[in-house]
Amino acid sequence: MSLETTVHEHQHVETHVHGHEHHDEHHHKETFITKYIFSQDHKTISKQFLITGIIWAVIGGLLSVLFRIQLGFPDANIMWLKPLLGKWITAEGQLAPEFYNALITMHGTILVFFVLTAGLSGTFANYLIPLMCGARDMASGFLNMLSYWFFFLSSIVMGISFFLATGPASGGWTAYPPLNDLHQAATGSIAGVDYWLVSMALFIVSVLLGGLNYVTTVINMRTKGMKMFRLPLPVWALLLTAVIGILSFPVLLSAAVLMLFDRNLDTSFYLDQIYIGGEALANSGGSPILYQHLFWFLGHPEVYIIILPAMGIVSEVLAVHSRKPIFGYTAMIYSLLAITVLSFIVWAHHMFMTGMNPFIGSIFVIFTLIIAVPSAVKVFNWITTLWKGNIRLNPQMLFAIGFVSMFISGGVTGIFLGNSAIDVELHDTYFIVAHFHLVMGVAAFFGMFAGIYHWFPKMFGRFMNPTLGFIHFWGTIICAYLIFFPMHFEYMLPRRYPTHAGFETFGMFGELNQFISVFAFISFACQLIFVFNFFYSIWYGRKARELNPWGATTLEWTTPLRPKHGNWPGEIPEVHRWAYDYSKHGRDFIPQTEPLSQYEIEHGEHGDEGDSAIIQKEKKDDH
Amino acid sequence: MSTVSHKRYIVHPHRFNLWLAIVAMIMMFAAFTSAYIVKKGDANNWLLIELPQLFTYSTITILISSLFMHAAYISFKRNKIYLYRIFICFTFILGSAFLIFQVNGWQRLAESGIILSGNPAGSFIYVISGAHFVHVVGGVIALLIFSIKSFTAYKTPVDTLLLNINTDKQVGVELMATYWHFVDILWIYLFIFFQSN
Amino acid sequence: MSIGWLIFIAVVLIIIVLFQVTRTLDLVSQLRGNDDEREEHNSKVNGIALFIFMVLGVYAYFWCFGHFKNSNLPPASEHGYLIEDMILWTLIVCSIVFIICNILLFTFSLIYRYKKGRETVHFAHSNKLEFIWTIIPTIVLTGLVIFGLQAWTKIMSMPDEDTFTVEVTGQQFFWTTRYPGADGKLGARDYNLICPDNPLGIITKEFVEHRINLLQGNAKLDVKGEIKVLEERKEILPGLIDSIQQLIEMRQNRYRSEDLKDELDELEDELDDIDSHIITRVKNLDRINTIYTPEYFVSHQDEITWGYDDFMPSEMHVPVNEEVLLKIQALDVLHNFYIVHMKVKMDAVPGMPTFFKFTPITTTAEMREVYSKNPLWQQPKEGDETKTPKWKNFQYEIACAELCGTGHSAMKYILVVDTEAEYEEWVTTQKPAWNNVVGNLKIEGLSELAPKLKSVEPVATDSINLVTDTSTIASKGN
Repeated sequence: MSLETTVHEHQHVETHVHGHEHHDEHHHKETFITKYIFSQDHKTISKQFLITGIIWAVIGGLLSVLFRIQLGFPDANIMWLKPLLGKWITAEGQLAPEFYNALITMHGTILVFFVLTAGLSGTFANYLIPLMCGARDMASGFLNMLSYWFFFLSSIVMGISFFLATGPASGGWTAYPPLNDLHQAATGSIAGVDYWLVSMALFIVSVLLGGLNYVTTVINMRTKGMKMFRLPLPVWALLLTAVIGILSFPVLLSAAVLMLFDRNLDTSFYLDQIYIGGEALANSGGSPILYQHLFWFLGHPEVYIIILPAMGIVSEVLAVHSRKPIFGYTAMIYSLLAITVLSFIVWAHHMFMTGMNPFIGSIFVIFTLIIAVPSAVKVFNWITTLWKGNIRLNPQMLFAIGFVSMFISGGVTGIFLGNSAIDVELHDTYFIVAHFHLVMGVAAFFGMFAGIYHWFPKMFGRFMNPTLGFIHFWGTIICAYLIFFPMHFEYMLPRRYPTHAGFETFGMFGELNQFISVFAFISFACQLIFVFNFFYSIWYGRKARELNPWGATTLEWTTPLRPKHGNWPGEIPEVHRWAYDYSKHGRDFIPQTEPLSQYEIEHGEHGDEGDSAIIQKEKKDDH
Repeated sequence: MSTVSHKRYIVHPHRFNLWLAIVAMIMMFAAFTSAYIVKKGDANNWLLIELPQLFTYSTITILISSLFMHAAYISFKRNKIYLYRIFICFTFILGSAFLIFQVNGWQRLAESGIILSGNPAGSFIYVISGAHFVHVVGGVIALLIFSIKSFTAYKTPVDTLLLNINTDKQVGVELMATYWHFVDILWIYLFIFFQSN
Repeated sequence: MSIGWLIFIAVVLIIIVLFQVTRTLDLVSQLRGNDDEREEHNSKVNGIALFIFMVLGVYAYFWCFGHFKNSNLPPASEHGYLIEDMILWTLIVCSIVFIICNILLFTFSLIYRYKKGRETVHFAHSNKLEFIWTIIPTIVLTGLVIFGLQAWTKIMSMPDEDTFTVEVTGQQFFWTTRYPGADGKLGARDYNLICPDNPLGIITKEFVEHRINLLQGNAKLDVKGEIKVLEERKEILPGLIDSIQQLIEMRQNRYRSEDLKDELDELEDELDDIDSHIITRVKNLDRINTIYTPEYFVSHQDEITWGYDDFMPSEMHVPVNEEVLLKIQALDVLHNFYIVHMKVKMDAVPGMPTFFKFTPITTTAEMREVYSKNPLWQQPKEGDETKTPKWKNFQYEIACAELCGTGHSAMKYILVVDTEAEYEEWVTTQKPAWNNVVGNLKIEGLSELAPKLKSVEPVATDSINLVTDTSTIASKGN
């Protein structure tokens, strides 16, 4: 809240003087290296994040294809993968169980951190914050560049761990000790976890450097007239994402540092009375649960770091393409704020079954279910935004609608899991796999796709092919539902099992697992269509000829077709109104740069009556 | 003092960046110390450790260095470059002394039988003060750069005049001061934290 | 390699085809009509598709419940019904939200699809509407929270102290259960005492004695013996490494020496680690010596006798309709004790026991009856020669629900729920674990010592001798 008040006090921000210097500075010499590699231009950095994210998404998806082969077709001979996977295929042509664990661990880590954190908020925070706020660049282009290169370094370290003789980390993306703490507990724990931890540490530095910049830019560098409550929703969402990141990632760093000490310097932060491999270890006095508290203090906010940018993007896309203001703009912002605050006090709902004090558990149940309220408000507001609109069902809009649908479907199952009594049954089963894949995996991807299709013309000056976009959308949404909906019925199956064959009780899902696997393969193929469309369109797509192809009100569409470093060739435009004046006073849209007409009331400066007055006025106009 | 360039922002972006970074660092140390408290709460064999005297010396050292840093900042703002040189160099020297005291303190601690790989109570002291040490190392390196620059950069009256006009260049020293006070306060917090546990 | 080339060529071909198709699509779309018409056409096609997708989806939603009804688990414990009720209520609430929201979402998309000149409304907010849909979820969720927390408190409340307790221990990759035996008390444990004869590290005089006796070099597998073996190995290793290195050099020109290099790596790793193994064992001994002072045996005279009659069955048995308290522990990494049908799930954490109580209400035999009517359980098991339907061999299965390493999916254990009478009979067949290992403990006169211990009046000074001198312990026992 304090953010907001400071913001209200200081409205007048003039960045253009500074901006000019910046702008001119970058006109004289730009070599290939400064322009594309070590660029400090937020737009280039954003594209670097996006393309790195796409590469990692393909790798992460490929890993899931590999373990879906194992889950759907446990008896299949996969000797043909031997050239790719080497000794991880056993002599019988089966996937080695320790490699299965490595696959799921890496799939989770890559998708959660590299794709949906760096690839999503890294891309769109970098791209949209300066453009939508009206700034020449980020507060510090240099830190911004460092942020990308730390991410790059981190992903290189993670990449190297794939080629270790003992394999990458294999103790789950949450890296719980003692499994990940003790070298003798799993093959991946011999060396892989060290790489994982170092990679995470670098990644945290990247997120922090980026986050500092995002917050500073939004708070300090908005153009004249851009009040906080005139900001488009993606900026709000990305701002709060960065705030969450700044507050939660350092805690993960602490957890990782303690684990590195445990692993390499024989301390006992997470270890107590361990008997393993025929030895009673000397470590005592630590607690494995301590790590879980530290991890989930980041880990839970992390899922909001993933979903908030998607929510922001979807809000924007829904408003633009239904030609209507986003419904309940202020409520949208307050629900984002509520989610941000609540995200810090619900972490222990991941730990109901760790033997924690049941009373503390109850408190976390209450907070957890409270989060459902702002989420529900958002969903209802999105649906109302569509009501009586003029909806252009192009790929970005389809993905935005798909996002809302996924968010509903995955969100309602959260109400089961947040209730600790039900969690007794559902904890660590396929039910929760289905839940989080729908609500933060697929949904966040849908938000990302919506954003890419929507801003592609701004990013690359060309359009993506809509027909391939439609195929991509339909393939993805159908597969996503067919994969993850039936998975809820496997609510008794423990997750992270390469095979359930040893258990009679789990034996009846063979066909279903096959079904899921087949659609997982198809879904992966659909994503390749997207990847193709993306790279094809960068060079060969239909050229954008209009400055503002979607008829949007926000500032990024006032820049030239291919904006240079500095974004606006002249002065930065001044803002006079909020970002969602669509279909107002009989006009399709009114850009933010247009001053209010004489008798016009700005949104938010009137009470309920004013609002209904406008509606009545609209009705009069209609007749 | 107030020139046009300062009016552009509510807060200078770099200063704002630093404050946010400090928030992040506080979160990290909050995580460490709350882990310490939680662990202390449920451990049955928690060791009560008395810090060696050396840590008291290091605390005093860093406190004084913080005063020097402030003096350096004030004299820089008042354009007394000569004084600024002296103060910033003293801050650097005291900062380095702090590091030496810390290393000696750890040695003393190890001699008294509290080693890194022993009881978590001791390990925590090493890790937390070590993490702080790393932050101070960063600060000392920055101080070194500032000290060298204080001799090379402001040689002619023209330099000083330019400095006076372009307040953006003053921000650097201010940020250095902020960061240095932060690591100072952080250490005092940690010192009291260890003492009271 | 040829397969690799084929794949490569296939990929290149696919990309070329896609490229051409996309290019054509782009050209065609630019030829066909103006932007508005194209937009209207796309919106119509996709709007209808979205609607059909929604209708099929809602149908499939209900179809699934019918289709998967046979794989649902019938609850077999008292609190299982509580959870079942909770799930049912939450399911009803969530289904309503899920279906209404999705219907509205997809229907609006169809109804208000793009048409040139369609009138839209500048409807930016309505406090009334927003208030309604803040307050309704709040009320519904409050209901679910209250309902849920009641159940949660019931499930998690600690039972009376004299509740029948079974101790469960997880380790890579199996479960062990321990029952208190006739005295109704579980013997204390210490992970320092774990050895093949004492897999859970139960503390009894003899087990401690065993360790100390082993120290004196009387047995093959003792800590000191292990250290000795390791030290000998350490002396040999550098020589081995040298000779392998020489071999590699000799072979260098003629043979590929990769296998030798692997071996060399392994040996070098072993040499690196061997010191830490030795240190671990030395420290283990130190701890045993510090803890088990003569005073320990005086101050713990009762506790150290509780372990004698504990038994560790190969299957877990519990009587029906009686509350069981599980005391869950782990030796190495995190595990999670998951009795599927009982809806029992609790982490096993090294160094910190956790608890879960449950009351089974369906015996294994009764559950077989239930499953005899389930079509999914009629087939014989794969590879079963006798063609018995699966339900006839039904057992309650216990699994691990917390990733614990390579063998995570292999941590199967069986629970048998007996009637009261069956259980009593089963208990009488169980032999204390002590009986199985007592022959291995090379302490003279030991077999008579153990059962008598309870009646022996311990004398402080004698106890000291007992610990330090093996011959004395034997004579006192007699």
